[in-house]
Amino acid sequence: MAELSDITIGIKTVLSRMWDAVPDTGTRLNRDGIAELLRFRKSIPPIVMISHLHALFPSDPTFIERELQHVAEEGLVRKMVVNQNAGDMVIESKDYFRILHDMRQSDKVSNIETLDKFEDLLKSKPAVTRLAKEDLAEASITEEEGIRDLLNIGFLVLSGIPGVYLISIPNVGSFLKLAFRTRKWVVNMLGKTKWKEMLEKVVHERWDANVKTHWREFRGITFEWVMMEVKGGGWCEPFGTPGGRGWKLTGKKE
Amino acid sequence: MISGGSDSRISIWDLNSREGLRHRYEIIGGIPPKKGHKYGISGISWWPFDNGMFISGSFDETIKVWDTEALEEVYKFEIGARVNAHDISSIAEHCLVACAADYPAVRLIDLRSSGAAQMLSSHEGMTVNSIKWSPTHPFMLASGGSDGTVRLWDIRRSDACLTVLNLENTIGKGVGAVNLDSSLRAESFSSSSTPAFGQVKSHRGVVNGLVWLDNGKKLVSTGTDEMIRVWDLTAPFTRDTNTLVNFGPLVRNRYLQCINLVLSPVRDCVPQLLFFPSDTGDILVFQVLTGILIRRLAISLNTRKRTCGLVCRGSEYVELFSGNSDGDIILWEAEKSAPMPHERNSATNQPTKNILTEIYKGLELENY
Repeated sequence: MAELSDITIGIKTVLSRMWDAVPDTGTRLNRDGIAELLRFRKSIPPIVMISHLHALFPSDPTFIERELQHVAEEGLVRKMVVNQNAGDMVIESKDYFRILHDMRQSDKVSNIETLDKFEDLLKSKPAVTRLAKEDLAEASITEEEGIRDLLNIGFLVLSGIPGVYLISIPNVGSFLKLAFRTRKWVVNMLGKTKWKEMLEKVVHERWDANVKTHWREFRGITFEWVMMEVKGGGWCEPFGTPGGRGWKLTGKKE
Repeated sequence: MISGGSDSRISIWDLNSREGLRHRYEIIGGIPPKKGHKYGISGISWWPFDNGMFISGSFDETIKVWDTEALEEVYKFEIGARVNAHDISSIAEHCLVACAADYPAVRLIDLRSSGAAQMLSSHEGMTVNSIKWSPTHPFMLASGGSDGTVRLWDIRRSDACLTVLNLENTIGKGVGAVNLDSSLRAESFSSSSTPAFGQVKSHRGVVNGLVWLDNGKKLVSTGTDEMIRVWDLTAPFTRDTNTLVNFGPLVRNRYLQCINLVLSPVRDCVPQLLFFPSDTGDILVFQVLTGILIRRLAISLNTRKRTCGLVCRGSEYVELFSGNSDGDIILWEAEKSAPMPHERNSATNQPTKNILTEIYKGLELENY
C-alpha cells in the first residue's frame, strides 16, 4: 500500500504553509499573548480543507475527488464533514488516531475501552463520515456511556438527525471558526469594491496592514492559506491583469 | 423554437428565417401574456413526435397542451400545485407527461385519456423540482426533490420507486439496487441493513436539474448544494454509483427554479459537453465525463443576468440558445474555424461571435 499520494503530499504542503513565523516584535502581543497564540496553534488538529486541495490541483477537480475517495478507502486519510456550510475537511489518519490515542490521558472519558472500540469501528469503515447509533451499538458503544463520552470529548458531533452522528475531532470548531472568519475578511474586502475585485497585491497590503487582527484574531495564519481556501472553495477566482494577478468574487453566497 | 416567459407569454420562432447581418429571427406566433397561462411558464416542450403540438407547464398550477397551427389550447390539466418542471418521453408509446410540482409526489398525466394516470409517491420533501424520462427505457424516469434525493422510477411497478441515488455510494456499496432489465429489484427498497438509510441523499440541497446521457446509462444531476453529479447506473452490481466527477468551484446554483441542463449532441471522438447556466449569469461549458471546465459563455464580465432557459440544436454545428432573466434570448455558436469550442483562457471572458439578441418581453409582438 502506497503511503504517498498526491492527497497526502497536498495535505502536508498546506499544513507547512499555514502559519506565519511569530516575529520578536511587531505582533502587538505581549509574552503571554504569544504563549497563548502558540498554544492555540498546537491545539488545532492538523486538518486541511478540501478546498485547499482543490486550489493545489485546479485543473482536474475530478482527480482530487476520486483520489481523495481512494486514499480514504485505503485508510490513509479521514474525511470529515462536520458543517456543510463550512466545507469538507481531511486529516491524515495517522494524525487522527494519534489524537484519539492521546485522549487516554484525559479525564473526560469514563471508560477508555470506548476509545479502542471507536478506533476499531473507524478503521473498519475507513471512508465514512457519519455513524448511526446502530453502527455504534454494533461496536458495543452505547448511547448512555460510549456515545456520550465521544460527544463530550469531541470525536462525535450531533448531526441534527436523531440517531445519526458525524465523525469529528476535538477543537475542530476553532479551526472552522478561523477558516470562516478569514474567508469572510477576504470576501468582505473584495465586496466593498464596485466590481467586487481587487489586485492581489492590494489585498495582501491590506492583509498585512491589519496587524492587530492578524495576530490576535487570525493567530498569524498565512495570507496564502486563506487565499487557497477561498479559491478552492469557489468564493473568489483569480484573473490576470497587466498589473499582476487580481481576485474577483464569484457570487457564492453563504 | 418555442419560448415561454415569466410574464406568461409564449412565442414561436422560425429558426430558418435568419436573414442579413442583424440575425433576427422571426416570431411566427404565440400566446400573449395572461391569455394562456396566468403566471410564469416553468417549462415548455414540443410534442415529441412533431411540431403540431406543444406542452407548457406553469406556476399557475396547470399543464396545457396546445395546437401549434391554431394556437389554441387543446387540453388543460389542473395540477393543484405550482408546476416546477415537466417532461414527456420521446421514445415511449405512452403519452404520459410527468410533472414535478410543489407537491411531494410525481404526477403522471395521460394525454390519451386526458386524465391523471398515476401518482408516484416516495419523495419526502415538500416539492419535486426536476424530472426527466429515460432516453432508452420508456417506463423509467428520474425525479429530483427538495428532500435532496434523485429517485428512479419504473412506472410499471406498483411500488414504483426503484432506488434513491446515494452520494456516498461510490464503489457499488450502499443501499437499494436498480436492475434495469429485470422487473424484480435485487433488494427491497424499504428494508435495508444500513441504519442511516432514511438519510440517503443525492445532494445536500434541493435537486433542481436532471439530464440523462443518451445511452440511458448515466444521469447528471445538480442541486442547490452547488454540485453537479454524474451517476453511473450500470455499475457491476447494477447499483447506482456516484462517479465522483467534480465540476470545480465555479458552479453557482442557489435558486430553487429548475435548471435546464443541456448536453451537446453525441459525436465520435469528441468529448460530450454539458452546458450549465450558472446563477451568476454565465454559462459554464464542461466536459461532462471529466468535469473539466472548457469555456465560459458570458455577454460581459460583469453580467448579473441569470440564465433561466437553455436549449441547443444541431449535430455537426452546435447552436445554443439561452434565455436570461432580462428577457433576452441569446444565440451562441461554436467558432466556425473549429468543430467544437476549444479552450480559452478563462481570464478573458470574451463573448463568442455571432451573438443574436432578441428582446421578446414586449417589443416585437404588436404585429399579431
